[in-house]
Amino acid sequence: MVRIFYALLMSLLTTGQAHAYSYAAAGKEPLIDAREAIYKAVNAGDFEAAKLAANEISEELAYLTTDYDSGLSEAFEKALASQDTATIAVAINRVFVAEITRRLQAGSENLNDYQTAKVLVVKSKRFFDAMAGELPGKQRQAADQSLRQALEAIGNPGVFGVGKREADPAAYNAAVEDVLKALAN
Amino acid sequence: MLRLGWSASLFCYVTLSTWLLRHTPSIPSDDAYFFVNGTIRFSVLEFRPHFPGYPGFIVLSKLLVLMGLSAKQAVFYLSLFSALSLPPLAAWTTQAWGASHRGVLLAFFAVLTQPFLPLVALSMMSDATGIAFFLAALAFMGRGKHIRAGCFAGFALACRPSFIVPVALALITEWYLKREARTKLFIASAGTLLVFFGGVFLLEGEAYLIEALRFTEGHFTVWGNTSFEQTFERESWLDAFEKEPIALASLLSFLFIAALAFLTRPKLTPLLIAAVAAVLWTLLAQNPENLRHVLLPAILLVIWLVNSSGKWAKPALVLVIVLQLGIWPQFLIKPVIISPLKQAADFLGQQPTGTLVTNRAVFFLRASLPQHKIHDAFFFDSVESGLQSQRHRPIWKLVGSKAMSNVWCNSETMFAARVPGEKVFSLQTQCR
Repeated sequence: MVRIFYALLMSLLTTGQAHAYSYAAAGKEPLIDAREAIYKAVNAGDFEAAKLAANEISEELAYLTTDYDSGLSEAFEKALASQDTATIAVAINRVFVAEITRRLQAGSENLNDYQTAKVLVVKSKRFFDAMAGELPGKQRQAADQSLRQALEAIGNPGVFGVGKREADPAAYNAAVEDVLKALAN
Repeated sequence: MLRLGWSASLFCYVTLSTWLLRHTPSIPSDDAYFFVNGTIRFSVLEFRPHFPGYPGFIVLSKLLVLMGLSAKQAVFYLSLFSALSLPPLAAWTTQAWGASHRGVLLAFFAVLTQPFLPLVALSMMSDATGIAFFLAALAFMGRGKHIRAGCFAGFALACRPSFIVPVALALITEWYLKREARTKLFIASAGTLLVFFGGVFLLEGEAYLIEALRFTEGHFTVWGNTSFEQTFERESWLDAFEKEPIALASLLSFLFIAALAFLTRPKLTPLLIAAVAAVLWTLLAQNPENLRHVLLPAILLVIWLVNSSGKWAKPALVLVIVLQLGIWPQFLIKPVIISPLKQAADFLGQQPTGTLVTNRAVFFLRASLPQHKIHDAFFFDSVESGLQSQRHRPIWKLVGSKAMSNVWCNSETMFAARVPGEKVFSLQTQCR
């Protein structure tokens, strides 16, 4: 029953949104789950299991490769074949950065729709939080600060117009550029 | 005798208030950090604060900000003064339900000496504010003022939505018992809730409903206690109380006295239902790691016992108060005035560089410590992998209990608790 209600709500939210995403099962994200499964296998020295875990996100990888990072799939496969933990970690982080880019760029295209833009930026922050442990402190804080600026830049419709703030596309795009710059360092 | 009792209790009240006000605002947990952020800018989707948004608490802390306090001070003093309001509110509630002068004094003193009242006061959480409004609602029910009772019940839920079970059952009991009050109770409580949560819905949109489902389901299946079991053992209520034996003895005494009072076939009242519901709800659905959850059932039991007809309940309560006062010397003489989390952050802030693994206040520490890498221990496998190739040394682990693995050295830096029930943090360094 809960799942049916959930699915109904999902369909309400996602209908007609460009680049809209769907929530996976509560609290779960295929990329984050796959990352943990890959690391679990790598930590155990079982690289076949790591490849199987990576297959679970092959669709996501293909989509990100087509639209956001042209060499991503190939680099990811090479990393897994290398059986080197550090190389695999770099490839996984690259996937996360592509996912964050996807959400933030979709936010830019939806700045006229506050709800959608906000959800997209918040979602990108969840991926950022999941990978933030890998980042040196200064890089982490720079990206975090820029994400907050992006959230500010999407404006606010207020309640019945009270507290209304228009979106600022230039500030948003500058903040997104800063986020990606911080993550690329 | 009564005058002597009030003099003693007021002396203790002033002592506790003075001691609590010695403390400077310091954040003890990520949840408190989210409340501070939510006071600056409210956004449930961004965890400012997390779902369900605690709109009543945020409105009150924003009012304090308008009066000139910083967001951190506002949350801290709102929590602290809410806790200090609980003894007088408990006394008022017992009086409203017809307790004798001696009963009113007992309620005041028994709530004042609650072992976890100081913990709640310094927690920067909404528990005390929610309990305060709930007690006001019960008091107004006792006085037959049902519109005010409904409004205050709504305020209680707007501050502390997790009180839904005891608050709703108390309202339903009054609704069942008093036919003439039904409409007033319903309109006042539902109206208040609609104003607060309707406001949140208008601010957050449909995404708030999605977040409601995601957060609730996720809480029970992904990031609640069961998730932390991946890396840390979960404590049961008995484990938690093992560290606080006097508090355990006090709570068991309340439960024992209440069980005896139950044998006399007590009258059905909202007080009884609220107390029973709060005890069961806390045992079954609350996290034993957070002993502050015990305060609501303990206070409701005190109020119900004072108003119950059992003759031995009151002398037994006097004994429990004496027992509870036995905890006071343990914390009143402590020099520690900042939270264990802030102590840890200050210590780590003095270290030039390093890597920290923790599942305690990850967001607060990431914001406070720009020189360190900070791994969220929830992501166990990626953290383990990351640490193998880590060059950012030293590597620390900040935990709320002893280390589970021998890769962590025995030399620990401890960050002491301020009050009973507060978690002591320890920092361990990874052996090379």
